[in-house]
Amino acid sequence: MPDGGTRAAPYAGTAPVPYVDGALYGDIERFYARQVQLLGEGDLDRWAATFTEDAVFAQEAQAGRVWTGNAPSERRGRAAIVAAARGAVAARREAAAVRRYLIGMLRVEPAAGGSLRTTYRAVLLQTPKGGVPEVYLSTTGRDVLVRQDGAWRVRHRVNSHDNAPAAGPGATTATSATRTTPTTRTTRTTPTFRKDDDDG
Amino acid sequence: MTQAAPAPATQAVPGTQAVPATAAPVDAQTYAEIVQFYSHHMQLLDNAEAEEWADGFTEDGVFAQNVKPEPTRGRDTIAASMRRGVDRLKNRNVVRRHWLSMVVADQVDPGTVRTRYYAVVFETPVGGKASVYLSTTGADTLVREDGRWRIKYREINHDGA
Repeated sequence: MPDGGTRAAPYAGTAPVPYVDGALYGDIERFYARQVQLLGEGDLDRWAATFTEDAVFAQEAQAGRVWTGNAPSERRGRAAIVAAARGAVAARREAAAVRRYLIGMLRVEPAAGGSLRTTYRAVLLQTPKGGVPEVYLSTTGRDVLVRQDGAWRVRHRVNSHDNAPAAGPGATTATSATRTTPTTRTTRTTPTFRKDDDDG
Repeated sequence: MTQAAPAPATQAVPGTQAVPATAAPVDAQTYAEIVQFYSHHMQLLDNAEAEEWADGFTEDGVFAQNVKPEPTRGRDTIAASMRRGVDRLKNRNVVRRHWLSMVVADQVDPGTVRTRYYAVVFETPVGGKASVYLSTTGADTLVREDGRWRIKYREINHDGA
């Protein structure tokens, strides 16, 4: 690369950290703010449009006692993603519980063909009707976003629950140096998740 | 009553000086860079990448906390200390997530920014339920070095300590 010297790693063994342009970063922050609010409000028709038609949404969640259920760990296509979310939203309405999705520690990196790779933490706060809010779940998200018809959309999402063994401290979110294509980690767990956790 | 800010002593520990009265908020681009720096920095910590996390400090960086008797001085010492910390957590099968927000950032000079922020830590045991583990405030002196931001001085104050 021409004039590549200025990007040399300043500290042995680590790569320089690129920052994306502030305006782009702001765009992506707003994208997530809107996306989580649409889900929180249960506005799934508009939430659906924040995914590409061929989007993939994978979960890495704990099998067994806590998350038992019957949903697949990976959903392919907007229709399948939205169908799962519809079930989850309906179950929450029945339980009269409200969930708020908070996204933080957002990292945005340029990727192939004008796409973006993002990594972030997401926390779910849940409040039962008349009750006290609780931290329901803490997760890590890894998305590939593409620009389509003038809007950013999720083409690929992996959401890892912190209480699943693979989400342990050694699991990395920032592996961009080696990831060049969206990949889904091999599912290590039996694909059994409780229905109302599908949208985690 | 407004006090005239005295010229800071040149030998004072960075970060212990008040931000000069003339310090203005950073511009939007710098602010976005700093937010991105923090996001990456916190992800590295919570991914147990202690050495990469410590690279977010200058070589002579200082890390002070109100729950520790002495600040940790120097990047290598900071890295070694955090390595022990993250290994302890790993052995306990606990995941922590540091969330940093409410960032105020003032430009001290073209290569120096003073920040103040809140940091909340969520903790999840493997197979268990998430909870709020800790709430703190933080104050950093950041310097621009080789095209990226690094922490020259960090002070973390745990709420309730």
